[in-house]
Amino acid sequence: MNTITMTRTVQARLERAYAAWTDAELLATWWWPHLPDTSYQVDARVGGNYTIYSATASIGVQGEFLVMDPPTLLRFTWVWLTDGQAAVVEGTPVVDRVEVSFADLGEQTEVTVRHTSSEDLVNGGAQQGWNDCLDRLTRFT
Amino acid sequence: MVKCLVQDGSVDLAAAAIASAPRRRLVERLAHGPASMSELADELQVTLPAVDRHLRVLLKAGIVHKTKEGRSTVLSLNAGSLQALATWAMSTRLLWTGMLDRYATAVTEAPATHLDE
Repeated sequence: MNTITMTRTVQARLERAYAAWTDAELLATWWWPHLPDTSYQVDARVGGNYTIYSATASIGVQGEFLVMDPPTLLRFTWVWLTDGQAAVVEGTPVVDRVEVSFADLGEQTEVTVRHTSSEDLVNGGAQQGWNDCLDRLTRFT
Repeated sequence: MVKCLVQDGSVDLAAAAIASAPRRRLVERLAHGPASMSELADELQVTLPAVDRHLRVLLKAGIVHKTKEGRSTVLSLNAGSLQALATWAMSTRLLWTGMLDRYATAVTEAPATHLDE
């Protein structure tokens, strides 16, 4: 299906680079710091859910951890929230998948994000409402 | 109330349609101008049935349309048909670019100072 891949090398060791995705306090330092009312609930275990939501922007994202292989691999589902509700198309939630992998470079870590649009829906996908979501986000940047 | 979703399935169709090297070559060729089936087969050095098979997918996805000119059928690219796909890729990339910039800054460790040791 439709996947975008992005790689970034960060100035942090593997464990710290990984923890910044699974520790709610660390997550809050970079996810949406421009939306100060954002709440971060992270149940960091396989099958656990995360919910990140800003009431001000009426936007958020939630999902379930599918794979947690610290400190090298994370896979989770990604569902946009709008006005507190999961994004649905024709009654079915639009579930994207995100994979984050971490490669040890010593003092640095190479982080790769793969975001795949929904394969569950013939007419669904991450593209739906993306622009609108993004517009709402950038309005608060 | 602004909804975060719009009904638009065109991206998945377009993505599936161009997820094939022969079809991308057809699209690239048609980007230079309309052509008939036999011209496409000729120029891309593939068989007519193969052209036909791939064109069906592109037609269904709305990337290509055909018009009759006398006895021959002319295939043309639909302007803007790949826009939704480009937009999805672009906006997803844009979102993660911003997120990863902040992430990189947030996790950056201060250079080690050995003064306290």
